[in-house]
Amino acid sequence: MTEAEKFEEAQRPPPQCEKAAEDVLRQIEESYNTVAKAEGRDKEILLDRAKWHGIHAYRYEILDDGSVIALYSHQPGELKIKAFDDMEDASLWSPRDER
Amino acid sequence: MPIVATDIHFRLSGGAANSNQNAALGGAKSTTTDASASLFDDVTGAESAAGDTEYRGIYVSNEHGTLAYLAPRVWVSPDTPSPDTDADLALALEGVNVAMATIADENTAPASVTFANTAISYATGLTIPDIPAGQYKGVWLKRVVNAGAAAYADSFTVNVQGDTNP
Repeated sequence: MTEAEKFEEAQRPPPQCEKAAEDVLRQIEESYNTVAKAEGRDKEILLDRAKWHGIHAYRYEILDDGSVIALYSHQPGELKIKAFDDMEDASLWSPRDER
Repeated sequence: MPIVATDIHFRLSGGAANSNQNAALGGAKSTTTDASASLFDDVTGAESAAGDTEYRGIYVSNEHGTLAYLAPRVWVSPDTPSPDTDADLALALEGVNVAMATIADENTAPASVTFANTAISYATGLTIPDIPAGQYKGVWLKRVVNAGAAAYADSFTVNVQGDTNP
């Protein structure tokens, strides 16, 4: 089992990624506030984006064994973790795949 | 004289002499080429059938002689018109006037940067720290083409706007 798979199973970020996780949660909250406050054409575009792709924030972190986790969120306060074998594998993914 | 539009440039990454958009994969800021042309190459039929995810690194460069570019924001507008494509933005991990990390190739993501997909106007843009005169800040772009995407005359534009002292 890779390091990334362990953290995916636990759905808890590694200690060294706690600030990264906080940043993802900060960004998703900011994105939702953005959508809530948007008006007119901005609102239309953001609602289209939400329908087509979802609203999300995410980042990739490389762990000590070379495996990679994506820290991602679709909702304020909700952090999810997905494991990948390496960055090449992770790079093809985005949270829109998990909706 | 305050900062005007011609003082602010998008510059490619990929090294001081880089003029190839496809090589804008992080590293030093290009001093030769504006990143205002097509940053991403056309999507082939094979790529759209299989899906295609690519990354580029660019810099917002303040080329005014003395004034800082204050609280600039970066965003995508117009957005990709195709429902099968999307563009995400992230500010580089590195600070102002520091070269971005280099990624292995155009299909490999940068680590430790937070991507978002709601920066679609000045009001909703990602906020960059102030950029002093002659300095720059890196921005990552991610273009996603879903597998099976229909042919489309698709594009998106990256914008930046900030404040200036007189």
